[in-house]
Amino acid sequence: MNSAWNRLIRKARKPKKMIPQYEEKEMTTNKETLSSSLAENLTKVKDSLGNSGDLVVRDFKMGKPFLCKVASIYINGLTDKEILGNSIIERLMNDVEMIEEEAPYGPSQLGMYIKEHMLTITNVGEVTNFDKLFLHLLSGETIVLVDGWNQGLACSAQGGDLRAISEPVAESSVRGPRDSFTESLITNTAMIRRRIKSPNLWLETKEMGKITQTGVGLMYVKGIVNDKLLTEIKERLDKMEVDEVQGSNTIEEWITDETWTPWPTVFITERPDVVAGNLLEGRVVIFVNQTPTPLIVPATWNQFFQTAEDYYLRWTMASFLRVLRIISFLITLLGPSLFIAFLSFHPELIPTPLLINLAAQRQSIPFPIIIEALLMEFTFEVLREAGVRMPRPVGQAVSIVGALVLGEAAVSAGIVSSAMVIVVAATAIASFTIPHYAMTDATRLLRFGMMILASFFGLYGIGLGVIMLVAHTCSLRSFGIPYLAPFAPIIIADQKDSIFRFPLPFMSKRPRLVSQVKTKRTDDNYSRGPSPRKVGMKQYESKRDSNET
Amino acid sequence: MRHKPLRLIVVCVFVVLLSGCWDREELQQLSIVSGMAIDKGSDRIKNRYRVTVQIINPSQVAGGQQGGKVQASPVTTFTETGSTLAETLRKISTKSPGELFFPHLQVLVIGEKVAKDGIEDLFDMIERDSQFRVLFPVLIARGHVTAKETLEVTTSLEAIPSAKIGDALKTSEEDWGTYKSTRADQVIQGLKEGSVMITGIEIDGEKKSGNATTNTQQIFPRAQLEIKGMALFKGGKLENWLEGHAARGVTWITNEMKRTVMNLNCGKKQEAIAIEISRAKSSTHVTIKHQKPVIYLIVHAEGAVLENNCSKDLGKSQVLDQLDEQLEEEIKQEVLLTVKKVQKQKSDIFNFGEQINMADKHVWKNIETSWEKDIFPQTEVHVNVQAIIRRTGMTTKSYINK
Repeated sequence: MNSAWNRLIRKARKPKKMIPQYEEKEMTTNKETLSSSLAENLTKVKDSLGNSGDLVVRDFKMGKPFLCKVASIYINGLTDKEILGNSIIERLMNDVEMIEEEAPYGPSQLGMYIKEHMLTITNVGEVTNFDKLFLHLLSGETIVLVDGWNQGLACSAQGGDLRAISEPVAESSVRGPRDSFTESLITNTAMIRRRIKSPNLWLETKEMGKITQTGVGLMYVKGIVNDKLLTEIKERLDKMEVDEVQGSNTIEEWITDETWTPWPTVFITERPDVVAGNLLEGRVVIFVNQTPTPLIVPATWNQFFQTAEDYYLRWTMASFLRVLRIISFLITLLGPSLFIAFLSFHPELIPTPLLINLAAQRQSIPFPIIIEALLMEFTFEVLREAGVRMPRPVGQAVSIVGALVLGEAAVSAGIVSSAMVIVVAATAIASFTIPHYAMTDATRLLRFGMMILASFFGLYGIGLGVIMLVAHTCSLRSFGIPYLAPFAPIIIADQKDSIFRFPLPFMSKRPRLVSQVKTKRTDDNYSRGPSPRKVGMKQYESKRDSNET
Repeated sequence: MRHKPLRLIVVCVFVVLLSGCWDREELQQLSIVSGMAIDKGSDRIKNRYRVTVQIINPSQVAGGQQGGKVQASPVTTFTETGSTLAETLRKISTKSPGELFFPHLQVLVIGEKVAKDGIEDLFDMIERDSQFRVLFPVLIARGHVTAKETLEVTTSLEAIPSAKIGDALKTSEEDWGTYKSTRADQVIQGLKEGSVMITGIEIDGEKKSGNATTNTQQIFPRAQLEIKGMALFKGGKLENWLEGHAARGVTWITNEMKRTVMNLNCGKKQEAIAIEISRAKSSTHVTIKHQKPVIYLIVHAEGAVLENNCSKDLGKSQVLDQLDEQLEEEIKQEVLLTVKKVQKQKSDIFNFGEQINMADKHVWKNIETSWEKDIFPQTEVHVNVQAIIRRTGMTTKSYINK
């Protein structure tokens, strides 16, 4: 049966067209070691970089008695010129007396001498081959080459202009901290270090992307993180074969468990406090240089409805807001499709006065309801995209025209009914309450699918769609963790921080499936009383007793 | 998962085939039927029934959207004759613009002539068709008025006449308690068991002037719809009408009493004290005495004084006790009045027979055949009422001194 089926499919396929084969060019890599001639090295560097205009070669002679040729190479714009001037060039050129008295004679000894005695730079390394040289040079370090020495010194004097830490754009909070990640990996990891001052906070860095050589940092809390998870992540990262890593999305799409799913299975944030919280739950964070949004894995569905603000508000309000978000998620997903299903398949389910009202509105509408709904939803999506993409100065025009297209004018033109405008608007507003953009996007797409199902099968279609969606979501995993945890499989203890947020003293355990290694948040010898105050009182009393005796 | 694509295709085919009965209909193509009237046709076979449907004109009913249009009536009626209900309703499509849509039916009115001939044939289609919801009330058009005419009276305050009838029925049932409404499913149940009660409806005033929007332009409309009387059916045929107190007795016995107002005498002053019944409960018990059934009706009622037009001091418990007894007697009389009428009618509308069957099935088997005709009219019925006046309103003693 199977083979017959395959044969049928194969027959139906068209014969392959001849595609001209191009010869793949190898990217040149240079494992060659540095030569001892400075001139030779310099020409090689210049040639390899194609004599790029931002390459600066400053060659000079050093020390009176030797007149040894030395050169410093750096990329203009990637270095801090003040450090470069003060701590490298000036030291090498001006401390003539010291060199006369102390400096050794041979060029290789001179090289070591420069490294050990002269450069007042925090971090100096040695490079022996051109590969290394280019890596250091192109990540902003200054290379010092000495004539006659077949090694070079890589001095970290990186600088140049970076964006300052600013307020988060997509995940703002009222009471929480106001910093958000920047494009610099080191700045980002430093923000986490400031929050978790523990030697157990480990960071592993590596360069990824054959051409881009983008810095990628793997951060986790040793002792809490599950080692299996860590090896899994590293394996997946190693399997990546890419020339370029352009931001964290490249990595996300390569290491994600399931590509064919509407749901995001990797969590993204721009807030350091969210990252810190997730690290302490046992998750692993992947920082990517030049990206202000690190990845957090494993991710669960439920995470996308939680915000940092939940932990800064009182638990009552936080729980209410979470429920609100879930409801608005359902409205976003099913609002228009339910409207279509009720109106075109089940008018008997609508209360009579409302039905009369809706019928009156629809009397002059020329389109079937699905067309009307798709038209409005499409217009809204267009407006939304226009709002994001347009240049800021024309923003006014879009909002004015948008109000016409999606508002009273469209109704009085008799193209859409006002009930439809309300449904679309309510759906739009509801979609904005989903706190994470990735989830909003997923819902936006699914909504169209649901609308089509509703227009063909009514409530039956919506039911089918929801069943299929839930079944699919249940089958997903993010790095071994069921995507719907703690709902499927149901984990009672983790319900304290899922749809509701219980008061923090109640949350004595980490999410069960994530860490698996160390699930208790508190120390074992710390007895958690019904309220923190009672514990304090006991301590106070015992102290007083000891004072008296 | 082998044959994965094949399985997917099979599932998709099932999704379409298993969807059962469904139909897609745009809202603007539906004619929403708000009321239906069934009258007697001109002959006994070909034109047995004359069916009228009242269709809502949405843009006239819904507010805010009528700009610039000529004021049309909020509803339109279409009439057709035929030998079965289903046939007649389909015939109407030659007159109506869209497909008739029945789930929002508010009321079904049956002409008195049809009711006298028998209503048994009317409800099979209503029960069978998926579009009918069977929760709408059924009414009988009384006297000289045909059922069709009751649906052609424009009403103020509620634009759709059928909705007005439904609402009036509901409020009168809840506040006045005299005419309990009968839903279609109750009628069907009653027809199965042999006896039915259906509320009556009348046109108060000139019926001709009802059929114009000008009727509602007057402060006092020339024609008004009014709920009146309870029709007693026996074997599916209209037998008699119960009015006023006798009709209220039905509500008492069937345990449908929600709220009502009863008047009591104050010494020589007749009907001077108004008591509101705010809570009532009744039950029926049957005992067999000497192979003969004896029926006990037990009524519990709670009330409050609404009006006290005599000098009785309601602060005293003896006075209240006395009033309690008076109220009990009043209710008892009402119930007995109804029972007597029904016994005279030889129609067991309260389905006491079933109660007897439950009490002693052997006795019931013996008397079943002659129950309604011979035994029921002679059966002893005892009424036991317990009534308590709970509240006396904002004052106790009235300012009236007489």
